[in-house]
Amino acid sequence: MIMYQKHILAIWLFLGLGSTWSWANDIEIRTSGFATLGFIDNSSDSLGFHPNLKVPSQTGFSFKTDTLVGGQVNVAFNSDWEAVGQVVLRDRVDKDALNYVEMAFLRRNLGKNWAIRAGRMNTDLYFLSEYQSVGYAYLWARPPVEFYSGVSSISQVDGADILYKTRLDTGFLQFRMAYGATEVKLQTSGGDPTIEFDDLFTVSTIYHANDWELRASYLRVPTEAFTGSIFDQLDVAIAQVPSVFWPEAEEINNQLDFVGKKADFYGLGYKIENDTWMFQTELAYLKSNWVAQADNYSGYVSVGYQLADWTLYGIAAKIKPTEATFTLPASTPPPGTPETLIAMINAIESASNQELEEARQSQTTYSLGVRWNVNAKLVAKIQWDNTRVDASNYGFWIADTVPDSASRINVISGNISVVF
Amino acid sequence: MKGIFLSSLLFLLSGICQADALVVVVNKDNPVDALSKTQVIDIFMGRYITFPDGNPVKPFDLGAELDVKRKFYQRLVNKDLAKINSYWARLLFSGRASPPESVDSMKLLLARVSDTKGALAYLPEASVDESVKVVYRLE
Repeated sequence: MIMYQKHILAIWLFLGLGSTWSWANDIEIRTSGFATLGFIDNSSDSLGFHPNLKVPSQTGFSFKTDTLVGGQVNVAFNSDWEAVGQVVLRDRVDKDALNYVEMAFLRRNLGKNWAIRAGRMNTDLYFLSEYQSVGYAYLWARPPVEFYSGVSSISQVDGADILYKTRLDTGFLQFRMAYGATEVKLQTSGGDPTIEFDDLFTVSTIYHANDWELRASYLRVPTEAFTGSIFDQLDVAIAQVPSVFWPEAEEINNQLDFVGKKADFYGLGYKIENDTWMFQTELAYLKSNWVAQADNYSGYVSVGYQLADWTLYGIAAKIKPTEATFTLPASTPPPGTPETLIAMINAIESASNQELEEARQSQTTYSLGVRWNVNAKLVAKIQWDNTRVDASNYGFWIADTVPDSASRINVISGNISVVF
Repeated sequence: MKGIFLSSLLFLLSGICQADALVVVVNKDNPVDALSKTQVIDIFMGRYITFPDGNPVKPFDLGAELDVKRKFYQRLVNKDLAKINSYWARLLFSGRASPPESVDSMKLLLARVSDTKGALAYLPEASVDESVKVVYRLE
């Protein structure tokens, strides 16, 4: 963790070389903020719903899931230098103070086409990735969980990025690369793991012309550290069995270990809108070499129809693994292995295979909602989500006992969002 | 008679059109003499922070004159104010760009443009005075 903080300091010093800062009258300070007061009504009393893995799940009725307030300061030192800081207060799994800092970076503009930032930034992986907490800024009461829940675990990066932008034909092109690290604490049915990702790299490109926008993004994220998950407990349990009685144990431990594994995320998105209609779709492919994270496709299609200050919208979203659940290689205890050990090995195998099954995400949601532009700074939304979760694939839900059959769950979300 | 009527009608219409016409202006000492529609869009939508000659630009919005603001963005990018507000919320709270500074009156706007070398603003053509220079006219 210390390494990348030194890198950030080096980048800031580099940005400062050869530049003259003009203080006094040129400094402009702008403060702004946003807030959402929201509720959910989850039809399930046993399956906890959360919009992403960094927010605690809730059953039944709750104001905690979506309610938040954010504050931001922009300090423009001159036309070349700007600092931005943003804090978002909301219910989080990880209540460490630094986690409420959503952004804190220094930007250096290099002419009209280039910009470099260093500090904490949002990863630019999908349409809402940089403003998902700002309900005022987008159509839905809730972004599709199938697409946004998993990848928003990597919503921030502590590091640096470089941006290139230019007019291209009748449109505008932006290209961004970012490098750094991040640490997240998530809530899953298999515990609340803390994961450190180092050597994180993202690249994104956006082209928008007239009323439409096309984007593509890639993320590579290797795991540096992983603690607090049920897989840690399984690791400890496996280590208690002498390897002579469980020859496959070392291989199993290697496969269950998240450290040193990596994931690759590929995203595509397109949206178009006019005075009346708005259409938006995104598709992603996640590839992981960790057995507990199955490769998957996720995506959604959203259509909205606007009439004066009201917009009616519908969403269809899906996530589906592309491979069968990984199961541990069957143990082959040698003759003479004590019965108690065989029972222990079988129990660990069973628990591991169950955990691998329950970590999968496979579900489909159909949503209907309406947004009302109350005035220039206030919007109200209400949305109904009907989700079918495939048997045992409850990776997005929190439960003491995960059902082994499919479930259909309704979640009603309502919120008012304001900017100031 | 018909000719006088038509001439009067045309004169009246031109007056209405001029009163309704919006222009984009800069400080009178700004070396920029003209901007294209694309260049005006790129600045007012936060894509570029400089004029085409590389000098820093500071755009202004007419905050209290909502009808003028509404017409400006409708003619510039064909979007209503609700969509413009959402657009700027996305840019501002993603840290990418800040919206134009909002000014509450035409008189104050002209004063700010006069005082700020890199200023860029829009106003009704009928409000233009000698302290500013027109660089683009919205049709």
